[in-house]
Amino acid sequence: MSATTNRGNGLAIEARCLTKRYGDVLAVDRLDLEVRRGEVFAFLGRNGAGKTTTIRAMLGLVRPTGGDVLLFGRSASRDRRAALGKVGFLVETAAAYPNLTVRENLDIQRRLTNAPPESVDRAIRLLGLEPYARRAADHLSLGNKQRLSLARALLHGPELVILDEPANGLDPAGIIEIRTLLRCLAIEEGVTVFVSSHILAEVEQLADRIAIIHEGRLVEVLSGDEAGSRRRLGVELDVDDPEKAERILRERLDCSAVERPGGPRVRVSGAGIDPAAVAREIVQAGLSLSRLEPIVEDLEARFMRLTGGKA
Amino acid sequence: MTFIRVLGTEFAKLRRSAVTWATLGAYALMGGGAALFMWMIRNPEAAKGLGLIGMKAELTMGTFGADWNGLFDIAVLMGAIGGIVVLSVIVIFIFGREYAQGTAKNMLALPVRRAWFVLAKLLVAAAWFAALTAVLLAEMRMIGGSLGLGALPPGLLAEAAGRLFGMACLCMALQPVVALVTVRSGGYLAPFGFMLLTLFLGNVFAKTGWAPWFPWSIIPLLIGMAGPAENVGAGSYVVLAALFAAGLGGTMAHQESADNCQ
Repeated sequence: MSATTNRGNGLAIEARCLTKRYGDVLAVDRLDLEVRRGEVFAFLGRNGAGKTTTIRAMLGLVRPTGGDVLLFGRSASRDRRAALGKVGFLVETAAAYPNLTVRENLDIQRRLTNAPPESVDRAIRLLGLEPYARRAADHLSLGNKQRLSLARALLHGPELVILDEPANGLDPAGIIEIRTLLRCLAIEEGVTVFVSSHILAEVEQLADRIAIIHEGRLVEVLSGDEAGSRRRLGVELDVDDPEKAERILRERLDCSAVERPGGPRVRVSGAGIDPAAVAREIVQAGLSLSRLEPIVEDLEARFMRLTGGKA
Repeated sequence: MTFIRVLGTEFAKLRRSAVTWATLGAYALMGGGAALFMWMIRNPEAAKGLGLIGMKAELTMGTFGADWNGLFDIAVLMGAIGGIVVLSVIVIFIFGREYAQGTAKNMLALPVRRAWFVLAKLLVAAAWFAALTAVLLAEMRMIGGSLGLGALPPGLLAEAAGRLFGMACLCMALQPVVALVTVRSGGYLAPFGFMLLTLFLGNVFAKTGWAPWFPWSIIPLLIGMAGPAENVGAGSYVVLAALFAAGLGGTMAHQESADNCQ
């Protein structure tokens, strides 16, 4: 794919068949991903799923074994400096020069990104670091180190911020503050936010879209609305004659995915199943219905199902 | 312009660094050692009375005169040992801290040519070591005065400075390889091991005919610790220059292209 053809396509990040192998370990496996400009995009996955390797490939820290990542249409591996010019980032753990103060750490970043002198004060205010500006990074709490790293990421006014676990070490108030800040950046300044996280509730509230990665592969991309709503997967009912109920539901509702897990219970799977229709058919067949409950799946259950865990 | 900014930030990273003070302390101690040695040469009976002179020290003392020339010879010896050990420690610290403190990923993901960081770090190490060498020279000037070595012969200080800084330059030629080992291993342990290994091998090769061709034996040869300095010819300098170029090129290539999985 030509880099130039993608510069005006409205994509901030475009991964095409991205593959990264470390010896025998396949960390990322033919990953395709598109992140639109101005959206907040969350990247979910279990430990070792390939999130950080993907982020490292985006930042040119690892060379893809196959495929590529384009940032604003420029290859992160072949045209690294041009691709990273508009990017702010936080990779895994917060890190700073321990002997330098918050202000001195940010000043190093300012000089290396050619940002204006006032950007340091702005970043300090933005992240609420005023009381610690003269404190050595070594003497900061974990949460404030994280704030310093976020300030570093945002200091030069990037158009894309790539954040790996930005809520690490933050207290609940700090998490809300950062969430609000990231949403503001996206809505008011059109900044694209790519964030990886383990906190599902946090991601639901923050992201416009959510991608789930498992064993190096992208398994699903959800819109924020889909992720926030409880997705109906079918219905579960208790009847006095489950065998007959199964037969009736298969015939009259054309439900093939009917199963009897045991006892009086019958489970009908399918997102389009109408619980009222199921109840009507059961009652009309003269069966006694003692319980009927929709089977719903929230983001957590969906994440666990897609990544092979138990909900 | 970008390189100047990178160089400025590399100097800024040294602020309030304990290692800066530790190396200065080491050089202050070296000056103290030189002063003691010169006092022992000038007052052998008093030194013997205090139990300061053993058989080996007595033999070594014979190689240095009890005058300004002898004092500056001691300075060059110390400068060379410092150049091999202290300069390596400085280089290991400057490159290794980025990995030990987790900042390498922040540095390498910036839209800056990574080779600039390598060059800037080596320049910072060179400047740092040049400052230490100047401190050693100033110490020697003061020690000579306080020990009553008499008037400093004209031109001797400049000549000693030339020898000391020349030795510092040769020691610098060994450092890019240390930097390469540091960035490849991503920490402090491997380069320290490498430094000790090269010190050991330098001593081993110094006893063989290969000494003028083994980079870590050339400096001991030049200061007379491993045979006659006349063995060092143009070929030895070519070896040092080649090692410098290979180490610098290797470190730059590694930083530009290798995976950073810190």
